[in-house]
Amino acid sequence: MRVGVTGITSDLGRGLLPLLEADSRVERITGFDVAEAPGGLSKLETVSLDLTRPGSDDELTAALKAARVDALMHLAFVNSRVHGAAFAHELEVIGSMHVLAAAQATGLRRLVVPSWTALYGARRNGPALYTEDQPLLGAGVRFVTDRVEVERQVESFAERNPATHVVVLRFAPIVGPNADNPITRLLRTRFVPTVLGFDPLWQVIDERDAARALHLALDCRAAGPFNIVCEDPLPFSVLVQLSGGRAVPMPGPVLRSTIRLLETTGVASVPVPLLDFLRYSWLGDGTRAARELKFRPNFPAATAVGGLR
Amino acid sequence: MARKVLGNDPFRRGAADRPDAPEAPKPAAPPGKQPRPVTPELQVPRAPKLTPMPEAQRRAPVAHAGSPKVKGESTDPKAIPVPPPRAPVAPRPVKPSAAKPRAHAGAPSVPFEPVPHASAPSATPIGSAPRPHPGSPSVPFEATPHDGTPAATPIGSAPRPHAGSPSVPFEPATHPGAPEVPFEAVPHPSAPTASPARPPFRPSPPVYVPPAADALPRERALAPTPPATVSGAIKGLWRALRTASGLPTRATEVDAWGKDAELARLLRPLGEVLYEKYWRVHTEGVEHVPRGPCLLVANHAGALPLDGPVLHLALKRERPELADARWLLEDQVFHAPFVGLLANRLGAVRASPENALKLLSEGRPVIVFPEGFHGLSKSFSERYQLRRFGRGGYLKIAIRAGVPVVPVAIVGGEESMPLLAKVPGSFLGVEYLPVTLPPLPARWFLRFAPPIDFAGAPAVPEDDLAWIERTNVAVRDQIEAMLGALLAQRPKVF
Repeated sequence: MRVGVTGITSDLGRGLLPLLEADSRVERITGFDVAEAPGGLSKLETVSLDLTRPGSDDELTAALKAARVDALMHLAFVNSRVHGAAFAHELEVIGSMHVLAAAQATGLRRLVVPSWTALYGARRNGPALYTEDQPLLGAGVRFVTDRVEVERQVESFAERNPATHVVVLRFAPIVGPNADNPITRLLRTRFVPTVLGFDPLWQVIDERDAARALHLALDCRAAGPFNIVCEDPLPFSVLVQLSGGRAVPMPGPVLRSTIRLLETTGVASVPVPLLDFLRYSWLGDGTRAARELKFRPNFPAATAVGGLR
Repeated sequence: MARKVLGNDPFRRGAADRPDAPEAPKPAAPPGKQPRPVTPELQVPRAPKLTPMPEAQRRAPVAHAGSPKVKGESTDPKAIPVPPPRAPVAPRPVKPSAAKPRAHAGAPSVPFEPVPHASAPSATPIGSAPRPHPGSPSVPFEATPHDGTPAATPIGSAPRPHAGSPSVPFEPATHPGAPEVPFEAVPHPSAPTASPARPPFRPSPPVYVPPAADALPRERALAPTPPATVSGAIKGLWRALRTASGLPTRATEVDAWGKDAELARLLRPLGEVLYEKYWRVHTEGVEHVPRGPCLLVANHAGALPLDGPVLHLALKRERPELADARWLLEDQVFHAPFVGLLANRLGAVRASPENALKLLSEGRPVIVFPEGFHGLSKSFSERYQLRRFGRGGYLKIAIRAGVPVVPVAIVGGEESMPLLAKVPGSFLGVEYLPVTLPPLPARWFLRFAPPIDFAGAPAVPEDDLAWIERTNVAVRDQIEAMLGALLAQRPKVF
């Protein structure tokens, strides 16, 4: 099996490559990235590719055809701190558009795309456990809205190209020593503001489990979206405590006006809708992944979050 | 005439003011079976059945009922509390067999003659039949003045509307689960709830096949409940306070529904004391709750909904073999700061069809309050007047999940936490802030009816919306009748 991976230097890419290297079924790994590839992997051959550039879909198509790639892992997403939302949008939404165009042009057999359970949104009227058929109504944050856009593209691609096996993995916030995403940055701060009188349930997933789920998606029979979550949700305050921080409950109105003030003065940019994630639970139902992907997390949430710092 | 379901309520002058029209007995049938004419609005008073009392008779009890009733407490410590005498009501031909036992009802030592009319249960309307004869002076009530009786302080003695509000007479015949057995004043765990006096309920066909034992949710093995000590209670309350504020509590045993098993374990002894000694909860008919998933449908009451936890604890105590029940809570409370969070950690789940179906698929009993927020937000003067039962969503869920519905009447919640006033609370994201008292020691009575047989129900609930509406009204009527009977038999509020 020849596997293509876009974004080999992303968090998920770095976790996945050793698993692919160790997998005897994988003959060759073709990595696409703009950055320097990690060394020490014998199966890996890298192609320099900037997905934000117009015309990158043609380059990708040519590379996929040349390497005769069977399955493509599209992991080129921005999770680290970005200074330009426009760049992140270009890479995530437009880059995915290029990838889908190339996948269609080459008649790709399998496409795996990571996503977030946060896309369901933390909603007042949401169910206690979001199953995969729930609508993606997350909004208000670029981090979420761009990925919702990506999922819409992928979904319509899957409808129009039934020959391609499309798997979408909706991860709970990925935590671990190497993970760098908005959630880990929040949990790594010393004092974490919470909303007084609210304590929603959160899920996290260890980065090793996340990489393992990606690896499982390489040859699973089932297609479509899967929630990849830990089995034991934790109250957010407990999550903060276990990660070594300190939860500071603040009255909701105070927190809201503080955030607005920070945003107006330009000190920090934290959108107010993000507060919903600190008020309402947003849990993904992991039973489909357990049943059809045979994925069960190895690391409980407490262990996963304990390795944050 | 107001809906007279208040029974022996010291807050209410003229408590016994209820529709007295003797009703024609109806053939007993489960509510779902017998299609009744669907009224366009759900709460339309069944006007033809009402016979307004003459004004003089209606006024008479007002002077009578208020004074001796609240003080009626025997000095004999061993004596069981005495039911207050029913205020005289309209003279009416009463069957001797039914009237006679009740005439003795005031005798101090035998407060509730068990089964006075069990032989002909359906012939006597619950709310109206067994009353002392109006002229009978034989209400040997020991009017021992009792200063400490909290009932003597009329908290919310607002005059109740006498006319205008719909009055739904009880229809005992249509409700097989309607109580015939007056409960003992002394709560007894093994109360004779399954006494042979109960009319033989037509056993419903097995609507539900309980799953195998391993299919039931696995409860985590927990340390045994700590003994009830003051320090333990303080510890539990402290943890509850921290939990409600959203402070970390090392709560690593929270399940996907938000229940914190450790918090529940710490608060259990305190809950038991409240249950046994403070609220003196009396349950009746708990054996009707089937094994496996079912929907318990109850009336909703109180400024802060205590009925969910109390009903939950009742199931835990009386039916420990059942899977851990959860109760559904409306958004207005569930998303309220502090209160909603604490309720969630104790076992409340946000009321939504998805959640209910998922809970049922786990094999749990699910407690629903179809009145929703309307049940909570009614003022104390409207206590025990049932609101509309939503749109019958619980019936659709029951049919879809293939589980039985168990109607439950809860008395005591309204007086435990009376809603005295509402303060605007939009700054906290709630509709209003309830003004209430700390939980008062009102007696609680829970009555469980036999599960409703859903034979004849549409396979898909949306196929027969009229059936849903009809059955919804019937279930509501049944709970209303049970409430009325409980209130009439309630010895004292406090």
